[in-house]
Amino acid sequence: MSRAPESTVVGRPDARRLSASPISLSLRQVGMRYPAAGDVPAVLRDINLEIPAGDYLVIVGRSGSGKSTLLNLLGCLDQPSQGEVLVGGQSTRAMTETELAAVRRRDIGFVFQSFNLIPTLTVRENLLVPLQLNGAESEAAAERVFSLLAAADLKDREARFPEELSGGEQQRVAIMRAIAHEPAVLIADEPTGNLDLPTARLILELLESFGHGQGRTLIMATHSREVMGRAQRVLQISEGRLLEVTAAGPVP
Amino acid sequence: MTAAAVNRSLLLLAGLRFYLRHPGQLGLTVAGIALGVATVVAIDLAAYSSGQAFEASTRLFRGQATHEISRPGDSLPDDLLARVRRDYGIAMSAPTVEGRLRLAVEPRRSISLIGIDPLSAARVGGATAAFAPGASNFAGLMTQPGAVLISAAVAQELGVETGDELKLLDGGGESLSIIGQVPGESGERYLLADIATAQEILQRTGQLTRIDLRLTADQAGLLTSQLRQEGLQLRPVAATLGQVDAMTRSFRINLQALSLLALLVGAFLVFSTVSFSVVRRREMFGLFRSLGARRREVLQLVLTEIVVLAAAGVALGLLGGIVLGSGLVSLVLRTIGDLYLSTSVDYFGVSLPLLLKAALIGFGASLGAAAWPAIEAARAPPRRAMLRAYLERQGRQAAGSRLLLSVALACAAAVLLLFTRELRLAFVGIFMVLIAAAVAAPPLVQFSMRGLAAASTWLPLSYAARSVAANLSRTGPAVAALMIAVATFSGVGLMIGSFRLSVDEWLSYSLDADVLVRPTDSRALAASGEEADLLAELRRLPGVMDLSLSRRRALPDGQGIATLLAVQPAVQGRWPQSEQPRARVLASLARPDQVLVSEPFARKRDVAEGDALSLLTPAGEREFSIAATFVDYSTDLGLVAMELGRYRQLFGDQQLDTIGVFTATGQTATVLAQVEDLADRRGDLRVTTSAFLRQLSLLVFDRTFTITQVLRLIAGLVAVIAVINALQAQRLDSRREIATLRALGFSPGQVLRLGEMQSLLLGTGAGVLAVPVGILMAWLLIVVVNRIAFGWSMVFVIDWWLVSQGVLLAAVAGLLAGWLPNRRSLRESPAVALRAD
Repeated sequence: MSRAPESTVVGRPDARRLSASPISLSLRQVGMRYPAAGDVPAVLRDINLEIPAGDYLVIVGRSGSGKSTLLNLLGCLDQPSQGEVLVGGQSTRAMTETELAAVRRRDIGFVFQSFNLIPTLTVRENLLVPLQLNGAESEAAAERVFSLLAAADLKDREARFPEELSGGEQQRVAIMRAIAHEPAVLIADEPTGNLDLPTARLILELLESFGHGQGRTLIMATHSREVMGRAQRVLQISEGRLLEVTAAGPVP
Repeated sequence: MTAAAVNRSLLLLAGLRFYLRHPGQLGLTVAGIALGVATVVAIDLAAYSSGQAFEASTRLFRGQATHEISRPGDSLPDDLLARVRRDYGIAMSAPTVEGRLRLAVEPRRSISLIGIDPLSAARVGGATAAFAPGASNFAGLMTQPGAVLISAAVAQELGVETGDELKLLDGGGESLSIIGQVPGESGERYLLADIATAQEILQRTGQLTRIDLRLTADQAGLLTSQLRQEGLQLRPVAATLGQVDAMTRSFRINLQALSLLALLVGAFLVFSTVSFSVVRRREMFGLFRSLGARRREVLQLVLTEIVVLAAAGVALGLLGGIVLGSGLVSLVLRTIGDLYLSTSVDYFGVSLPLLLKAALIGFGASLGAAAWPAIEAARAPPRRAMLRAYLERQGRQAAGSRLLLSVALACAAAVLLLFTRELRLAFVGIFMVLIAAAVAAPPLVQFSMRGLAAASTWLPLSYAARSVAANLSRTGPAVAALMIAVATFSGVGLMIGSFRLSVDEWLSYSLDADVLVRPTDSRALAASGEEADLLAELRRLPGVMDLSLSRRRALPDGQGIATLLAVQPAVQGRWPQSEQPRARVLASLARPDQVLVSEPFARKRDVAEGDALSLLTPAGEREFSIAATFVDYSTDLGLVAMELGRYRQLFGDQQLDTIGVFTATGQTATVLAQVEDLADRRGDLRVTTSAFLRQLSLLVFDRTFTITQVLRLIAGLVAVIAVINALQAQRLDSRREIATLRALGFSPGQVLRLGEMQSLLLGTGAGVLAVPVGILMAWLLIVVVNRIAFGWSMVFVIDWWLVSQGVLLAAVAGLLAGWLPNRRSLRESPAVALRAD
């Protein structure tokens, strides 16, 4: 199951961008406050962070500490209230929504805690979505989906709808969907939070194998101490601040 | 306060806050209820007001009169009054002459001129409004030439007052002097004159329309038999009122049915909005249940909410209905005036019982619509209520039973429609058909969308189709409402279109002559023996090929409702429109003992070809055989046609109403000019063309159906509101999905296009389903309802452009209704949408 599919260049002439071109991410003086929060303190405050291409970064912190908010900013799903997020040296503030969508479509793969598969599409169709979005030719896309299904041991599930799968299977599909278009960055927001321990282990292996193992930047929010031990860097977030940046090793 | 009471008030607070946070949902629910109630109120009030107005009008100058003498379809000689007083000793008698005229200030609308003898009227207690102290210069009527009193309604409409002159459009263009006004609450439109003045203006010297009498039972008994021998009729005033009632019964039932149809469409809208508001909060109800709320409490919460919303909707609906009704009533009154009576009135009154009935219907429909979703919300186990998948699965499992229920309803409706001859039951059957279609609509849309998704190789299309199918647990009621609204829009449109086509075709048979000549005083023409000369003169005109002659009067069958048409058809004409060959029908008509009957007559009297029909002639009762039936839309009260020569022989009536002039090809204009010259020279003929009358008839037709067109528009409005509802539901349901798509890299334009594709599919799906339902509805209205109500048969023509208008309405409504929700879904950051779920 864990054998990685070959990185295939698929699609149109500009499909070169589908393959993982190294991309660095930076946060500069980033602060985040939700409009509805009123007097509640900012979720993130004065965050500065450099994530070089190919990094394996784990973000830890209590519930509500701002982990998901930080990942949303890194994944270009949201804009900071202050400061700026740089993707490949370009500030997301200068980008239109269409340009941001293009970055998400091309360079980033996102895995959610609650899977977020499209309920009305089959497993196979869910995997086709990012490929078609990137203009992959149908034959090449079909080959890519075939190899992804095989790699995730989901070949017999390809015609099933998400609600017909177990949690572990859904998350495997979500990971395959996140890497289908060969993004440079793979972001996972507590990907094992809804899974039992053995399943969680399998998912982590899959993420590492297809993420960091293939040279991608892997950024993961998690409570798992096991993961913390395997990451290159661990960041702890507390009360909206990055309190500590440690090298891999146990977090106090 | 008990724990249960606290619990209940908190639940209610949560429910009300939901609506305050979702004002759009609140607005849609209230608007749905209001629209349904407003339509019922409007049509009911219009029908009620018209009834009141005509009753007031019928009683206007009859006062304390108990009976009236009249000759159906003909006038009375004015020496009859002297005989009644002298020979029968009845002093309480008052003569009246009535007719219509047009004024130069308002040439488009004719007005009643009523001539009375003020002193006699005072004796029977009539014209009390005119006698009111200070109301008018009543004595002036008898002393000033051309003096008239004007009803307050007409004075206001024309902007004239006492002392003004009114120039007549017809006749010699004389002027009338307004010497006073007559107040009236019922808005009657008339001019009141002394009987001699009225006879002169209406060119009915020596003629009376009726004589009103105050009789004892003995006097009435004596008079009835004696007047009958003279071919006159003595009828209680109450019977006259009953006759108005009988004549307009079918029309009023149709109006009622239309209002109920509007209510049914409105009820579906209420059902869809209420279902949506309940289904949307099933997680909240599930939470309440998880926290210990009992089923009964959840049920009470939903129903209490609905009562509050229904109160707002009903209040708005009553107000809106009164406003809409005041607009509709003049349409109804003009229609009744055009089709059944010569009187014209303008009146709008509000009836408290009708408002109460509409309010009850509004509350009933709202609670009925909310009942099932409320029970479902209360019944579901707490955990399941929170799971969307549970609802979807339930919906899929129920699809089969829904289709079965739909088929059962359709079968029951078919049996009812096949065997009933009762108009109300026929409408019940049509409503059952619509409900059956509504029950089947969501599963059918679901199946078709799944089919489309399976057949499509284009991922966005299959995604959009599957999304539409998947969201039907929320959008199902709105899809049903949309389908019913569009079916009503198309069905009623098809019915009107087919009817109009049938009437147009019939007009080509009934107005078969090219030029029509009408004597202004047919009695004079008959009396002086000039008829033969006139006909000979017409025949001699170059280009004239043939003439047809006709005379209409009330059917002498003791009821006076149907019409007798005495006719001498032209050889080259087309009348009558019958299934039998024309030559055979005309040959039968020429036989002395044979008559033709119109379809409504045959149906209402339950007679057919070969049956016998008794008519009362001055020489006593005569029996005729019905040779054939023919199409006639001029009256639903029935028409019997007899050969003119035979009629004259039997009834001794030598008058003519219409002479049809048939011209050689391309000679109509020349002949018309010559006939007009002849009419100018003689001064006793009115000339018009068939083409003009045909246009006028179609104008009256269109005016008659204006109220039905209003219903179509309401149905269209309901369709738009229903689809807004459905799409709001769909967009809300898809909030997380849209955020996921955007996280995957869908651009705003791509998300928008997907949303629009879903909107289009939803609207088009319901619109396409509405096609067969609309066609079936039109067919039932034509074949079942019109036959039962009026006895008319019609061609059934499917106007595909009109049908596609329905589909287009649904599709465009879908796109328009999706405009805002689709764009709103993009305003939210995907991170917020993902976090919120």
